[in-house]
Amino acid sequence: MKRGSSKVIIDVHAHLLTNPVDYQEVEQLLETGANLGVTKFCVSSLGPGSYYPTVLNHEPTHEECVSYNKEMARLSREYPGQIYAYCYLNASYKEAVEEAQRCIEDCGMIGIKLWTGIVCSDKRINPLAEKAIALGVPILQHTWDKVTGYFPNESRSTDIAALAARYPELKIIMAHNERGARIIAKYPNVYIDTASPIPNYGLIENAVDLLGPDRIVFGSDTVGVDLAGTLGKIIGADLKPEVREKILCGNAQRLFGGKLA
Amino acid sequence: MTIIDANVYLGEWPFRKMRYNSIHGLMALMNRCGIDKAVISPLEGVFYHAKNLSAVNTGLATIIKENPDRWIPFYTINPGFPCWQDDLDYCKEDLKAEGIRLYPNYHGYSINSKQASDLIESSGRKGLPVNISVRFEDERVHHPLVKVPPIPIEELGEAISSFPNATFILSGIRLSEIETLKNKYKELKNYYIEISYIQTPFRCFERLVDLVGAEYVLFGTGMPYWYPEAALLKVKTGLVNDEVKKRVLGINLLDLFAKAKQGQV
Repeated sequence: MKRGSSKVIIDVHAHLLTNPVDYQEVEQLLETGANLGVTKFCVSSLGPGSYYPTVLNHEPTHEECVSYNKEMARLSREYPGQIYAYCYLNASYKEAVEEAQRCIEDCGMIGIKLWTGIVCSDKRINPLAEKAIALGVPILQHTWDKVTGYFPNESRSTDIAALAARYPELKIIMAHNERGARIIAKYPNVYIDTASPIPNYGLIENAVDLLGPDRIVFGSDTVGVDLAGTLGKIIGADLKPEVREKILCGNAQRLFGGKLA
Repeated sequence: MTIIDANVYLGEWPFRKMRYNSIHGLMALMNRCGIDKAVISPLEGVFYHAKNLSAVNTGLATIIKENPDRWIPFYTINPGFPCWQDDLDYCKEDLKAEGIRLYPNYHGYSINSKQASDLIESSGRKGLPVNISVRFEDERVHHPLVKVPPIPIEELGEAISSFPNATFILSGIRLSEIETLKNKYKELKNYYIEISYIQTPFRCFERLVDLVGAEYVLFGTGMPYWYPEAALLKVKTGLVNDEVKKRVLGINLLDLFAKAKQGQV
């Protein structure tokens, strides 16, 4: 690929359906990834339903999350070195802490994925945030800063900032919200992924200007979003080759403590 | 293989600074991506008052004179303006328009209004394809004081079906909306889909080709508003055969112009 792409590209924000797992979808993801040079996917399952259009359970029970995680753990075992699993949780349940520990320590999952169970500035997240710190894993938190209204319990960049201020040791990935980079810029424990499906020219360069080259990681939000389109944002951005390599690979390797090797 | 981009802009945007928004900037991007020619429109056409559109159209025509072989001008017309017919005639005769662009929801008219219908009919008689922006960008990131809804797909379908001899290019449309259009108007063959806005879901390009047929898909980047590589990568790495890629990257647009000229009176 032109423009100083990386030899290894890691997608830190991908999704697959579970309950049941659609193996054709898994194979298509890996096939398309190989075609684009994306060889490692950090994946969570938000359960059964559809990522397009979004027909998913926004507030899963704890038992539902556990069942999704079991399937993701199996997938990560079946595709070693290609699929790495997040533990998906609804942080409004106290049992989420125990499930995080089980998924990370027993199943080798690489981080925690939170969607819209609770707003991430809600103090009910504290025990889970403290567990993530203890386990040394990041939280990938769904966010959107938008003018069209919000899902119930949907987080925005200001919620990330509140959580980051409360827990400076907690590693947080703010999902698909490059437009909110300014809000979290002063919190060095916050990274952003690049998964928004809106490829405004200058978006990535502005994020690098605000955050520096070390706190931005490539993510696609596939299979809800097109992998090629989101990768095109990074390939197209006016970046030094070493910065592009950090976004596509190096920063994720460092953020996940070498677990993606 | 000649690569033709069906959607680039030149000009300013009211809500953020643009990069590469000079003619030389655009050509640098095209050269970087291997794009030979591009359909070009004035970006100010989205928000400028109708009475000022003629000036921005003229301005674009003046700028692109330097490298006419690289540009295919589509000028912006607002049929809500009483002098739209004069604007259209001027764009066709004096500015050598190859097509026109409509932004119904930004200009405050329905695509099914009498004025819009008259404009579409008149454009068809002149052999000019009509590009309709269903939306310009994702509603979630609009300026909070300027929230512009997309064109209702039912209205769009009615407009397209009312003018079977006109040739339409649809920009800013989602795959789900194309599915709706396709399901309701199965027999329509007079519209093409330009891909720069289509970012969802996974394998959206391949799905689009399956949905509307390879001969009705147009490569477009929307640059410099969007990163051109976002669209280019979809086509270049798409899981379709080389013949499909060639069609999408250029042949289809040439076919479209030939079809539009067949309707010319």
